[in-house]
Amino acid sequence: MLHENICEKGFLDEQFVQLEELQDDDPNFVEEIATLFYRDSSRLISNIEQALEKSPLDFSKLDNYMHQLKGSTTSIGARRVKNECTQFTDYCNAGNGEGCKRTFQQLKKEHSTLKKKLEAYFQLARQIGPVETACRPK
Amino acid sequence: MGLSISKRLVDLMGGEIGFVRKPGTGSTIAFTAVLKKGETGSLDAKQQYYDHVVLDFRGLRALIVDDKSIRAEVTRYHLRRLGIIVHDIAFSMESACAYLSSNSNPSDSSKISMVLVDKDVWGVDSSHPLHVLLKKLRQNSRTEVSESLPKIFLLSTSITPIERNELKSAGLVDNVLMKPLGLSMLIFCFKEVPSIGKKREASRGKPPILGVLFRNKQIMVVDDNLVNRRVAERALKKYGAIVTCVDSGKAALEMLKPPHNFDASWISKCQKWMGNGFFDATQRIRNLEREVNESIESGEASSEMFSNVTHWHMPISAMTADLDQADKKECMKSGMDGYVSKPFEQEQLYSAMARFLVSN
Repeated sequence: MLHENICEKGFLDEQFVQLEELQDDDPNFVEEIATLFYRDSSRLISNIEQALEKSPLDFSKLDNYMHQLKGSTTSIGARRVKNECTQFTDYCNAGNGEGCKRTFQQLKKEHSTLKKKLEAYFQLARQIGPVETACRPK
Repeated sequence: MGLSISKRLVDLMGGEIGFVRKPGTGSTIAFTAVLKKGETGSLDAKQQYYDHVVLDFRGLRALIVDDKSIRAEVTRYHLRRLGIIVHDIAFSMESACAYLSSNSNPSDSSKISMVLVDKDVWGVDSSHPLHVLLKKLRQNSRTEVSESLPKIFLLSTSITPIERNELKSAGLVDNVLMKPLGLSMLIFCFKEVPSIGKKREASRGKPPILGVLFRNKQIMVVDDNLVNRRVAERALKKYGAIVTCVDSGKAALEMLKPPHNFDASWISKCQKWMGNGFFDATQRIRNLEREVNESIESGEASSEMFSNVTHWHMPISAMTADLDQADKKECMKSGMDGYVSKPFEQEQLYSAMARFLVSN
């Protein structure tokens, strides 16, 4: 039930499933990646937050941070967060500061929602023990 | 010159070489060599895989289109190793087309599954008669037959990745086979074409060939993001590769000055304005390699200084989640050999890396 929730609702995509397949003999791999991801992305998010408070906005700096964030969201398969990143980048390229700020709020929300879901997922996984992979999105 | 080279090789192998010449017929060359028994187990996985794969191809029929009969015989030999039967060889595109037209509604056993065309013959007619013929056959026939129309392969001794991609995306060929032909390479190239060979159930889990391909190969992963590095490293280690991760183009450059022991390098897509520039690093690596190659060629430096490798060209692949056409061009321009796209699906890894790792 938890698996359906996390994959079918589009929080995570095929890449996450690939990560699970990489797990093999290292049962903590996916959790380790998730932890690294959160550390990395939280840092980037706070950088972006600070940058968004400056005036005038430095769009190329923002774009650069977002590019980095997008890179790691892709690696972990965080689909919704990635979509917000793409949206943010579009606004950046268009020089639309308001659009950026709005999207950023959305991004933070998705980011923290995913974090809660992943935490619950790993907790459950630990209780159950090694189990078949989360899901195969169509 | 060929005999001279062969004599040197035979001498090195502790043997002797001689020949008998019959005017009007040809020469028979024979040699002896001292060999020793290989380590058991080292080739087992590879052999098992080949035995397995040959099942996919055994019994298929191919048509070779080549105007040089001895060269065509060599091709026929290689195909036979895979169990592929070549009954006929066409000497021109015209005769190949005539042959295929008459073969277009065959019974299963005489159906041609693939056509291998030598580049010499291909280049002669730029109207691409084969392509036109197949298009026509596809339109005229029932769906089942059209799905089983032969696949077209170009046999070439040299072709750039850009040329290959252009031919494939224009639908003129299904794939390009590089000469000299070899068993592994043929298998990889045939397998890159979907729906070739007999349909078997896709096997889950690690395809053994990736283990053979990557085992003990030294691969460098270049990405400035820690999460990405960990994932790429894991994907490669799973198949037995020895992975080194670096976090910048600059660090990569340091480690990739010839001589080095890396078999291939995966570089993450260029970060736009950061000093880590990966396209820039690729270009610099290529420049370094060119300098080294030139100095070896001109005799300024001896190849011994560079681990006895006389020509340095390390396979560099761009590692990226989404690559649009403009990016692809940039990759090629900066000297990259190809792309590995995320997520690192098994089929992807295989088709992206096979070409590089097998020839080494």
